[in-house]
Amino acid sequence: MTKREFLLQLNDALGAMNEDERSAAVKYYSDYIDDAGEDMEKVLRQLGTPQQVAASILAEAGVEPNANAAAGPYQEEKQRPAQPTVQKRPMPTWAVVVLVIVLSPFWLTILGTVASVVIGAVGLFFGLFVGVAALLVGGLLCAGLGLYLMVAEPAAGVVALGTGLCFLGAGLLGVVLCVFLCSKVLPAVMGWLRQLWKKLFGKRKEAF
Amino acid sequence: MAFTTGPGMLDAVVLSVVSKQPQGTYGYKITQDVRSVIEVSESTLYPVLRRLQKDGALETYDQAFAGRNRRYYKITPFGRRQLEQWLAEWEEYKAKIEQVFYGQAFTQAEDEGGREL
Repeated sequence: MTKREFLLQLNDALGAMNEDERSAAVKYYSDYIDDAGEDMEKVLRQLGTPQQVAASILAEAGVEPNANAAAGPYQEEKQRPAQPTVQKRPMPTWAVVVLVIVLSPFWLTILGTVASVVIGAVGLFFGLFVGVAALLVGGLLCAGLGLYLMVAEPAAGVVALGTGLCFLGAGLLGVVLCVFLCSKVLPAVMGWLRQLWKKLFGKRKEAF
Repeated sequence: MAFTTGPGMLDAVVLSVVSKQPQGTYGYKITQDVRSVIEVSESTLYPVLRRLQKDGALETYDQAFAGRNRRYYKITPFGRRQLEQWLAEWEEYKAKIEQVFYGQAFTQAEDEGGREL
């Protein structure tokens, strides 16, 4: 790179500054390079890229660099902590409210669908528990009845006992299934929901 | 262990270096002088000079040299007062640090009963 190229690029990278500041900075480095003399390449290497030099000047000045200036890595010593380049301004509250109202047909529908799915799932669980309970109770009653009948009518008694025990067995299997659901599936679903919640609403909090 | 030079310290060093030349001195020379005592990159100095100038501690003037106009930096009366203040702060700071490094042990800590721990 030649001195001229360096200064031109420096001038461009300082585009965000006003005319006076920019020309003062370019003049400084023009003088500097002239006084450093000898090995142009060595001098320019020591200074770093024009973009880096511009970035450190802009950072100290507290000016946001424009799109042309690429902020490169800082050399050795930073004298002030670098201020972040263009900050994203969070959307104003009123804009968010308007957006929410306008999009309500969409998110209301989605919310309704999700709610019905959730209610359906809850109903399913509930039904399962009730069904298992019914199997257990019914099975016990039937077996009990069978035992009672055993005395007077052995044949009927055996049938009732057998049927009762079948239901009882099925009910016990159902209990195992319920235990499995409660200990494994439910916590997993809750964890997944919690993560989703964080992702959706955690970011919102940061933006505001 | 390397002691780092904070921004405030750097301002004071640069101002002091410039103050040693009552007639003023130029960018490249200032950079060389500062770098002979502390490790800073070459591009660190300009923002410091600019800041000192904005605060009124330095002023600039151009003078012909080898067929071009070279810009010189010179300390102002305000700059001298600022430098004196910084030197006073430095003396205080230095004394405190040296007290820790080289001085007597601090008094023993005491518990609530007044006994020495």
